[in-house]
Amino acid sequence: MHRPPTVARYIIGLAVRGDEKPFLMADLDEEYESISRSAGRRNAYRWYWSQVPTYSVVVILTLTFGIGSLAAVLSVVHSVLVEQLPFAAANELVLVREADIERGGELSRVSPPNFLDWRDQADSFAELAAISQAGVILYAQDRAVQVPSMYVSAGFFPLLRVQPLQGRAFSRADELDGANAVAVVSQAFWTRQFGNSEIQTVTAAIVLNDVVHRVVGVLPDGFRYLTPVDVWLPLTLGTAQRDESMRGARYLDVVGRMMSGLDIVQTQERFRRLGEELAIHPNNAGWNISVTSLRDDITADVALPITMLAVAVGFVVLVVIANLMTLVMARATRQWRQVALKSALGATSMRLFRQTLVEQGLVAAIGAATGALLAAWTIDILVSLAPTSLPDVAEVGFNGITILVVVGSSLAVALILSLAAMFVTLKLSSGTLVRASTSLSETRTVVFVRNSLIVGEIAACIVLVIGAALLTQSFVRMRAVDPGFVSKDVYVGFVSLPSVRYANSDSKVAYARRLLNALEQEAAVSIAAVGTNLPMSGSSMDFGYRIEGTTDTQPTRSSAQYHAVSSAYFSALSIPFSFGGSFDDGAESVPTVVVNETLARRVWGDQNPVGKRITVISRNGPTSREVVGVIADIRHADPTAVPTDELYVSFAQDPWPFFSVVARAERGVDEGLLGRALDARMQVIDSRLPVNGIAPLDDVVARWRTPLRFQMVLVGIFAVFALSLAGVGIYGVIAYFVNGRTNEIGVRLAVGANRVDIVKLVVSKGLVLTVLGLVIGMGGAYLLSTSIEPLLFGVNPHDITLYAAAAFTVVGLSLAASFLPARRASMLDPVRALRDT
Amino acid sequence: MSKGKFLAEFELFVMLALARLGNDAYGVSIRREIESRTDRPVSIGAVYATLGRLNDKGLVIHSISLPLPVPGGRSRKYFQLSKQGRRALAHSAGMLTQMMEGVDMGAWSTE
Repeated sequence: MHRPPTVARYIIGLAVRGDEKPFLMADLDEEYESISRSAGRRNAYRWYWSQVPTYSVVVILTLTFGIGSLAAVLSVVHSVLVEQLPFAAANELVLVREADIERGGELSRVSPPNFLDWRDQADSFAELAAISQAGVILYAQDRAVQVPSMYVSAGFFPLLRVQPLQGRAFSRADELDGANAVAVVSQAFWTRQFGNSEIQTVTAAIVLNDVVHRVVGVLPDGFRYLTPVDVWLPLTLGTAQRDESMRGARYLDVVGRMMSGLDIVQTQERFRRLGEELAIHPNNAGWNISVTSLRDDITADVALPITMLAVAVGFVVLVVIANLMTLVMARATRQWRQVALKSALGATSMRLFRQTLVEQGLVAAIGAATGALLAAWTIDILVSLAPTSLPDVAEVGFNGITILVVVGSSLAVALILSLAAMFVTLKLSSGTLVRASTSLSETRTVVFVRNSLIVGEIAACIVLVIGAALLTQSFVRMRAVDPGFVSKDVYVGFVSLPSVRYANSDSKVAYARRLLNALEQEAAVSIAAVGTNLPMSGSSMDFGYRIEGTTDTQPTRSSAQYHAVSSAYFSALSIPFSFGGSFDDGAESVPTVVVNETLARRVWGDQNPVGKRITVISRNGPTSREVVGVIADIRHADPTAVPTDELYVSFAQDPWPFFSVVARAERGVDEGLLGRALDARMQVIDSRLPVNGIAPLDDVVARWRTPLRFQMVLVGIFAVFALSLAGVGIYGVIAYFVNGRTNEIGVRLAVGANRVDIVKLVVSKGLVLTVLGLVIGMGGAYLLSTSIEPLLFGVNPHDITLYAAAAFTVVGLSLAASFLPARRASMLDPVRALRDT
Repeated sequence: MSKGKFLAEFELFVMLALARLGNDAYGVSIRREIESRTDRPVSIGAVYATLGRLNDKGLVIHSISLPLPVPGGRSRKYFQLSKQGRRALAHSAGMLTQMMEGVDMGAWSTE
């Protein structure tokens, strides 16, 4: 005969005490066998589980949630905020950037000439390497695929202290014009392309961007810098990049390693002096150099949300512990007679404590085991909150920290609960055994402790409820933001033209034309356009401009977000014009520009700017352009971004090798159809181009709300969980109060108190505890909500109505929880109440 | 409600089951008896808890059987109504009958 479910058997065993246990367990086994014989094993299993007492299930579920969420959040906190980055001496690594002093120190990437000057002149206090992100197209087996890749300067690998597994890294010679095309690849990429063969770099070649590259090195397995990359290429720092005109073209990321012995303040000071020296170059006027620790930089955006979650989990754990303590104390009171008897028969306190500890330890162990399962499952979800640039976070999982938290917290729980149980027992035993025969009334101290626990629970609860309400409000506000464009029914795709086959401007323009013409043939497409930097796609370009015809009161230097777009771009995104219109496709030789309202208002006030001229300084140097239209502001960077100056020029006049395709669906067309059409047309026009990032623009926009939504949902779950526990807690305490006061209530009823008076008496008891908890909790929430202000959007962290609503929720819950026992008390028969107690 | 001389519903059920089962009343048989007659799920734990309470009130007595004559055979804990228990059951049942007199229950159950 097979055995009943072990876990269920265990839990039941824990819930049953004393002499009954062997008989009860044997009875259960007997019935299990009999059911399994008559109704099958599955039914028997289910039946056995139904025998588990609700009390045990509640305790274990509470522990599961408490320990599980604690372990999951602390595992993520540890790997994101505590653990070092996976590089040798990672605390020496810094990011070095240019800082625009005139714009309040706004940070920017670095121009090649500046990087080269730094590299030469900072070598006494820092090693430096430059990085430029780029998508590279690989041709293999007649297919083109986009490969994650990075252009890096010669010092990059030595700086990170990584040695190629085979072959070599880059040298400075690889940076120069006319150097051989070489590449360093990841171990995974190597295995995919060449199998497990030993590297023969002379013969190993791959075609990247239509050029044959020799693979000169293979990196150790798992190496990555911020993002996973398959192919590293030498960053070209040739004549063109060294040209003085490039000093304003800031597009490089620079990573540095401080010389050992220097701290970040000293390094920053040296860079500041270097920056002052380099300010002699006209393009550096008003700029300096900024140094940030790599670690701080990477975690800057997530430190706060993760800390907030950790604090929230802390409050949840408080509620869990307080709740379990009240449960255990109530049970200890009920079972006191049994303990008193044992004690009278000679059991020492120590022995009783050991027994309690074992019992609580077993409950905690089961809760910890299920909690660990919950943690293992939720860590993956939590990781989605972390930035993708954080190395190894993707691999955060069930690790040593998780186990440590699970084991540690279950031991702590067992100890705390045993102490709570012993506390009650000892308090009661200080009376005599005779009291065991009289009705139970708890001592003042026990009552005080239980009431304090409830007050604490309510306080923690209100903090969580207010936090959840603030985040929810922010999410609702953010979703309601009008970004200035309509993302619905729009599909986007990303194109990157390799420079070999699309060397000159004409070929790029021709490709874009062919693609747009083809898309316009599609029945599903109503408008198609191209543009270099889609809103909310995370990409942007910044170029300078000058106003013509005015000399007074203009700032010395202005720059704006720069876009090269086809003329239908604005209508494809439903961006309205406030003046003029888009470029004229028929007259593409005339240099024109479309500006946004923010720029127009700042420069020309309320005048109609159409016909005015500005000089746009783009990568091809300054061009005088006539303003043909003004568009309404859009939120470019993200839904919370304040609109900044924007310039749009015709893609035909400034074709870039990388751009996005935007296609608006014909009314009523299925979005999926549009996506497939986009994919197919792009394939037909150039099958050797990979098709990338085809997605609804809605998804691109929604990505910005994902972190907030995640925080909202998580804190919301915590709040609901804490609320339900607090509800149970209040109910328990009030029910106990009523039981203990049966006599008193009987007297009151007998001397003429009516039922309503009794309900009031009992409910007010719960209300006093609730209000006390509310006051403490609201104070805490007021202080804590200030620190999460950066996570909020469009909501005051001290919004009085929101606090009031949260207070109402908790008071309502408390009233509901104490009403049940109150009603029972009011229904007492005074005669019986007096006789029975 | 379960205090004093009144028996709670489930206590009444358990005592009636004991009365029916006579010498064969132990956890399993009591549970089956109540479940089959009331058609509602009953857990053995609840039966034991109630028996414990009834024991405290002196309404039931128990005896422990010799191990069953099979390998690994176990002892059963058999319960019986005490003298006081029989009186309490008769009292409760009597009151119930008196209360039900003249009430047309049949008409209600078909509603």
